[in-house]
Parts: sequence; C-alpha cells; structure tokens
Amino acid sequence: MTEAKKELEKVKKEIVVTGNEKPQVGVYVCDCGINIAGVVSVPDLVKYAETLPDVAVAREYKFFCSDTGQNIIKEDIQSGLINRVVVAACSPRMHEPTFRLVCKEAGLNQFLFEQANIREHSTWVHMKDPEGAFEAAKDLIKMSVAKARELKPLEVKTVSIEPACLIIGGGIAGMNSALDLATEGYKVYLVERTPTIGGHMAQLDKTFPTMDCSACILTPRMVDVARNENIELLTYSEVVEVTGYVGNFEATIMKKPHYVDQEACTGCGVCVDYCPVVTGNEFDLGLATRKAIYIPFPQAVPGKYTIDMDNCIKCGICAREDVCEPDAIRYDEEPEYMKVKVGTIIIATGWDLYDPTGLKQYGYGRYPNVIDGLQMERLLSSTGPLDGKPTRPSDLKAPHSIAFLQCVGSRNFREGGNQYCSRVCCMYATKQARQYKEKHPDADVYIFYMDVRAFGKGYEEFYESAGKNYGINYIRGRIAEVSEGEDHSIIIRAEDTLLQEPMELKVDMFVLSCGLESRSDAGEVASLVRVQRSSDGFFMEAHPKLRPVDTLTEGIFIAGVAQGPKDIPDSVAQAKGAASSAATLMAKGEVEMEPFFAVVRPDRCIGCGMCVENCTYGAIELIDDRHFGKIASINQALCKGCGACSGNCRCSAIDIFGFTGEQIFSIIMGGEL
Amino acid sequence: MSRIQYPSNIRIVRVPCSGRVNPFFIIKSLLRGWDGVVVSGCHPGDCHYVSGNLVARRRFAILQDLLNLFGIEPDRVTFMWSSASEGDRFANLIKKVTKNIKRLGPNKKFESTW
Repeated sequence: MTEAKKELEKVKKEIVVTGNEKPQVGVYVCDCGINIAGVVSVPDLVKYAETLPDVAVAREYKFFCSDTGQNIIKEDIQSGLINRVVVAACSPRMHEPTFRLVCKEAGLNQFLFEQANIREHSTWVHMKDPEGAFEAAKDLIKMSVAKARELKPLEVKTVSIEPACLIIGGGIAGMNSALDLATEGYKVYLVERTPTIGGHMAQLDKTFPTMDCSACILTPRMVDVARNENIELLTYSEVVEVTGYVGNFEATIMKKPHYVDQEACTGCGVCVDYCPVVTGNEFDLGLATRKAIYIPFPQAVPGKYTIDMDNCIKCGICAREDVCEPDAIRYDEEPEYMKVKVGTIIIATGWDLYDPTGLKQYGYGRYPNVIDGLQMERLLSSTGPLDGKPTRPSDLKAPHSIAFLQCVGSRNFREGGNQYCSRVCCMYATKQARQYKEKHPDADVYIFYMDVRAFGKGYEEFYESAGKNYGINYIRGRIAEVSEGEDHSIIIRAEDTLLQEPMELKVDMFVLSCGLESRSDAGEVASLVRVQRSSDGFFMEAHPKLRPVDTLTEGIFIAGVAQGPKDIPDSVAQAKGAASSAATLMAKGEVEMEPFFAVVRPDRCIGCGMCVENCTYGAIELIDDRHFGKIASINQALCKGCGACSGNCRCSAIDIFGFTGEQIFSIIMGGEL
Repeated sequence: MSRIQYPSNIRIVRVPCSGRVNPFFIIKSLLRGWDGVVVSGCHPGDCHYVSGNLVARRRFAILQDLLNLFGIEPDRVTFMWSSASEGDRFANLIKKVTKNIKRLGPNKKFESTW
C-alpha cells in the first residue's frame, strides 16, 4: 500500500452508529439503464423520496452498482450526511452483497442498508402498466425508507468450514468434481446409488464427434477415483438425511447390503458360474441377462460382487466353500448407516431416459423391433450383449434398413411432454447412424427430424459429413404413426415437410431418439438437501447466467445433467466449475453468516416452550433465569433466523434481527406509525 | 420472475420464511386499510428452512377462523405456495387474488381507527 493510501485510510472517518441517533436516510434510485428508467420516471421517484421522513438526500444515477455509482454513496456516508442507505434498484439477490460492501468500505455498519426492489417487483413485472409501476415503485421506496429508519447495526457472525465435500452421484460429472477436489486436498465422500461408479457414460459405445471409445476414456478415471486417498468411495449407498448449513452439513449415508463382504470378495467370479438365477441386466437395458449375484459390467469399480436380493432364491450354492473360496457371502447383512461432516455438497445425480411407452403411436414395447436410443447404444457397443454387431430383436438378423425418430419426449408442448430440447439426441442419432453405416455400408438409414441441432465444437462438421460421406438420409418431418408389417418389419407413415407430401416407409428396425429427463426421484433429493427445481424438473441454478453451478442454498452446488440436459464435455466443464466453487468456499476456512437470528425479550417470555417445539434446528431451550424465571434461550450458533418461533410466539417475546416486528410493522404502515 | 406480468396493485414485503409471518402483521395490514393480504411460501414439504411453512400453515388456518369471526371476508387473506421457479404460477395466483379482492371492494372495516 502506498504512503498516500495509508494516509487516506487514517483520515477515513469510522462512522459509529449506535442506532439511537436520528436516522438520516440516503435514497439512491438507480436507472438500471432502461430497465427502470425506461418504464418509470426516475427523477420523479427521487423527488418523491425527498419528501419522505428522515430522508437526508435522494439521488439518481445510471448504474449505482458501477464504481462511480458506489462512490456517490460512499461520499455521502463519509461526509456524515447519511447513516442509513436505501438503494432502489434490482433484487437484493443480485446486489445486496455489493451495497453492503459499499457501506462497510465507507465505514458504516453494513446492516444499515436496505434495498428496494423496484425492478423485479415493479418495472419488469408491470412493464405494460407504467402508471401502476410508478405507484408501486413509490410505495416500495417508502416501505424501504420506513424499514431503514428502524435498522440497527449488527455484527457479522463467522463459522468455520469443514474442509470436506459430499458428492451425490458417481457419473462422469460427480467423478470429475471428486477428482478435482481431492487433488486440491479436500476430503471427498462420493456417494453412488448403484454398485459401480461410471454412470450412463459407461453404457455408451463411442462419443461424438471424435468417436473416442467411451469406456476407454472413462475407465481410467474410474480407477483414479477408486485409488485417490482423499476420496471415500461409497457405492451402493444413498444419502438419507442432510442437516446443518453451509460449512457444517451433516449427512447420514445408508450403505445398502451387498450380501457379499466387500473386503473379502476377490472379484474372481466363480459364484456367477454357479448361480442358478437368471434375470434381466439393467446395464444392458433388458437386452441381456445376468445372474442374481453380479457385477454390473466387467470394468465396474469397485469390481466386487453384489447379490440382488429381489431375485436371489437363497439356494446357498454361492456360499459353498468350494464356490466362494474367500468365504465372502453374507446372506444376513443389514444396511449400515454412517454420518459424515462436510462443508459443501455437490449434486450430480444425472438423468433418466424418457420412457416412450406412453407414446402409443410409435409402438415401443408393443413391436419387438422398436427400441430406444440407449438400447441402440448397447447394441452398437463392443462390450454390449451382441459384441457390437447390432441385430434386430425379433430375429437377431442385421437390419438392412433403420429409421431414427428425433425429439421423442422433447420439444413437445402437448400435455405430458417435455418442452425443452435434450441437446444430445441429434448428435447421438447421427453418431449411431454413422456407426451402423460403417459396419453395413449398404444399409439404408433414415433420420426423421424437426431441426438438426449440431451446436458444439466439431458437431456441425460431424453432421455434414454424415449426410455427405455416409449417405444417411435426413428427412424433415414428424412420424404420425407406425405399424408392424410382415416379418416384424416396421411401416412408418410420416410427412416430408420439405417436399410437403405424405410418405410411407418400410424399415427393419426403428429407433426412438429419446430425450433426457430429471431423475425420477429428483424431487426427493431436492427435499433432502433443500434445493429447488425448475419447472422442467432439473435442479435450479442460483442465476442462469452468472451462477450456473450454485443453488439458492449456500454451500450446495450442482453439476452435470442434474442441472439440465447437456453432453459429456459440458457436464465435465460444469463438474469442474462446481468443484472450483466448492473449493473457493472451503479455501477461506470460514464463512460469514448473516446475523439474522432470533432474540428473546426475557421480560415478555412466559417459558411456554412453543418455540422449542417449532424450532427445526434445535436452537432453542428453556432455561431458568435468576431474574426472569423459566424463559426461552436461543443458541445463535444453531439459529438460522427463519422466524418460525417468532411468528408463533403468543407473547411476541421473540424477534428476528433483520426482520424485527418493529421493522415489518413500519413497512406495513409505510412509515406512518 | 422472467418478467411475467401481473397486476401492479400488490406491494411485496420481504420476510425470511412464511413461518416468520406473525398473525399481527396480517391484522395490522387490515387495520391499516390494505384491501387484502397474501402470504406466499415454499410448497409444503419443500421448505427452505425445513418446516417453517408447516408451522405457518397451522397458524394461518386458525387465524382464518378468527378473521371470519371478526367479519372479514375470507378472500381478503390468502395463503399460497409457490417456489422460486414458478413465476407463472405466482403471477396467476396474484391475478386471481386481485380479482377476488376487487369483487369485495375496498377494506373499510376499520376506517374509524385510521
């Protein structure tokens, strides 16, 4: 710091506000470019603000969040003109931290600031009613000034952060977040519901547009995760409870019983040869079978066996000494519960494929040769049930003609459909079509599309080449219905919307390029960790542009398709972003908490204990006070300031800092007490 | 939310949770001459503060009875649930509430106390 700057620091007056002196409110009405000034007259709002009680100054500026704008406020504070700040601008979600910092830097307690949201609560939502918007903006300013007059200085509370992260979901997103955080030295608990990590990416054969073998790039990462000392890998486990808050979450994890001792099991696989129970293999989407004792796929991590108790008949063969030499079988294993303390949580729960059974016109589930895109992926996969030589399910012959239908369950504005674009189907269908043509150059391959969305790096080139060099026929138009012809062939009736004529086509196999959906239990996960979902069912980000990996709950981040449909590179990028955001928070070692907690007025409290019952955080207890007798007492370290106690207190003996009864009454009365 | 338009005759008071809303706030608003009061919180089961909205729901059920007893039309006080992602739901509920209150006319019950 230069000498001059040091000098300046010295002269800077520390503004001491006890809360007892006469409030002097500064009102700063922001134009926000045309967002506010384009709908209401800001000069008139300033004039109005000047008439309000205790307002010492009111000013207009183009952008108060800019450096110059902030300095205007700072100068008024430092010159002693004002001791309360009201900024009438955007949502406090956007700039409350900015203006609190302005106060702090100018030497004023940051909680003597109040924001009037005249953008999201007036000019944006009443854009078509400028007069109404003006009246609303006036009242919002009046209400904020009324509250500002009642504000009291508060002290920030800091709490330490546990340098550990809980990651829910062990797909490509969760794994990447885990590896980044573990490399930075943080403890990671990676919880995966199935017996192996890898997620959907493990089911894919090749990845577009580079045609990298999915397993070849995925499995080394899986092994890295398992080997990393800082990662505690909890497969076949589920998070059942999350309590606490940023920096200090406590999660309860249920380890489901494998019925096979994971320490003892060597993964030799002899048990599989002896197991008499054959059932459908989830990993191959029912296209192949597995035994009741199984590993999901050969490269699974950890490569230890699990017994599927829904199908096991407990014949006892696998437990025989000559079958399981390490004596690892445990039929009576019970679920185990463990508690972990973490500072941050990343949700990377991924997606489910849209189930096309409900779309009766496409015959899925009715005609054997109608399959979905993920099943096609398994058929094409060299590790799949057919060793990468796709045949049609009805007769196991290689189809001579295949049709793909795009946007199945996506971009559908009818009842029950998903309105969003799933972002990957155009590319995966193009890739699958190319793969099939590589194996069978003389096959006829058709793709029925609405628009082809090839938006990523190298995607357009990939799509261009599919038509030009591989001879794949792209037909613009929706398929109206399909029926089954002789020999289980599929007869398609559609309209070619470029030629504007109806068409009929007979193909050997029909693939539905189904879209991605949020996990069927995303709602339960959302309630578990208390984050919100957008109307499409995916987890909601704190800001769609600027905070795409954060949630509205501090300390909880989202990565991968859990947030919305995306391809592998985007999922990985977001996973790294989420890891970085979590690390940024944890690197500080402590987090500042808003000091908005409950306070008891001992002279009013009768010790009824109602608040103790209502407090979810266990922050209230009844104590025996020497002067007041039995009264409620708040543990500020646990209190989150929700106000459930205060709203319910029949003696009005509990108040919430930042939202006191006095402050809210003054808002209701518009300052006219 | 997403700049979805709704009637301009509502004024929003920020509280941390619907559980924070003391019945006095609602009664005070009606005494002051506001024509109606809306309390909006997270959907039951999705409370940001675990269970504040459930506490609020029970409390408001009782308050609604009490207001009826005072002769205040039930439509003047509305409790509704909408999440942060449901802008259109919020807008529609506000439209509905505004329509209901316009039908009731101004709240003059406590005019003499002003």
